[in-house]
Amino acid sequence: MSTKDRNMRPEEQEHPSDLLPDLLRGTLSPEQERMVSSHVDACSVCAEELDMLLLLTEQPVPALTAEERSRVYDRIDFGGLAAPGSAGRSGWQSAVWKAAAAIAILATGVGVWQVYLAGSSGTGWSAAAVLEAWEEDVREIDPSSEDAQALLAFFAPQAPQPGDGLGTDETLDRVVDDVLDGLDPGVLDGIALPWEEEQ
Amino acid sequence: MLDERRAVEQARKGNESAWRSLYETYADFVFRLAMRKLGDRDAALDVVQETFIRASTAIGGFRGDATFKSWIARIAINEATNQIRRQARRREAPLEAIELAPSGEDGPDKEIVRKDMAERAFAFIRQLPDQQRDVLLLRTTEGLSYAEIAVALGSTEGSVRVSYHHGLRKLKEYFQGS
Repeated sequence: MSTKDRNMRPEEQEHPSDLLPDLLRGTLSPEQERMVSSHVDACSVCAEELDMLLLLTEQPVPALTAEERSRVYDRIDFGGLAAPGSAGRSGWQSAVWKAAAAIAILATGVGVWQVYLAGSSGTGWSAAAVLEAWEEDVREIDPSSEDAQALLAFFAPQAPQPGDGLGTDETLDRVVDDVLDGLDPGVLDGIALPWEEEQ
Repeated sequence: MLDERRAVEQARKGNESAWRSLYETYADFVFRLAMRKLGDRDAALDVVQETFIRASTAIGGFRGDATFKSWIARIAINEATNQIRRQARRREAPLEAIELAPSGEDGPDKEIVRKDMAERAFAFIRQLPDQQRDVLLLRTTEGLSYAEIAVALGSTEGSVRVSYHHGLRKLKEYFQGS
């Protein structure tokens, strides 16, 4: 709400639509709350909007039950997942890393690896983020090796190409999902994962 | 309960207690987002699970220049969006327009009527374009600021603000039956 608005009658002020969610949550400063409330009292447009927002926020909030919270926590198995390079990861997790490795090899092969890295904002999950911790290991894979060739042959039809919208987490998620869907674990057995090397 | 910054630092090192602390703090937040976005409890539980699995994998990329809440929200939103895609974007039947119950009308049925209206409103929101839906949910039901939402969606504050007002306008039109 601008300084100019403060000198106007509430019904003449600009609609404080941006602040209505904060009014409902009680997170406005006392002065803001007084001004927004005065406006809403005199403005049918904002009063209606506020009622609509109230409808969305007044309903019981979906919450995890204690049983669900505990069950999901146990399924995540943070003890096995959290330490990079630790042994004992789940088969699913290994599959993700292996798929990511496959993508890295392919991406290197088609020259778009840098695009992946450039597209990783670092604030969300992405194959690039997964690979960041394993970059050195990926670099050490010889692209001409039998394993790499097997991977190329297996994944080539699914290899991303420039212009596919590379660099977004969404694309990477889709590629990883596609790879996982068609994953034959036997093809990837030749890749040593970091935590396996430590064993 | 660990201080959040310390919990994140410890989580990076694979400390399970730190992960438990972060999970206890944000599991409900992720679940609410997923429930409102998907409208399906089992699918929302899957999103909670996958969100924290992915968070544990990607925590090394979290630099702390955004809040952990925004960061985990982004993962949760991506996961919920993936869930929707896996369900082949199952679209619900077109919804009939509804009108808000007169605010002065009280009585035993009013609560039921408003609950039904809210459910239909959320069903309508779930059919909005991705960013409008996500922004509307994060702003109205979770109270995140535009800046926090921008981080969560990998967008800009300006774009988020525009999406909010577009989504809100459509919701108003839905309520008004226009």
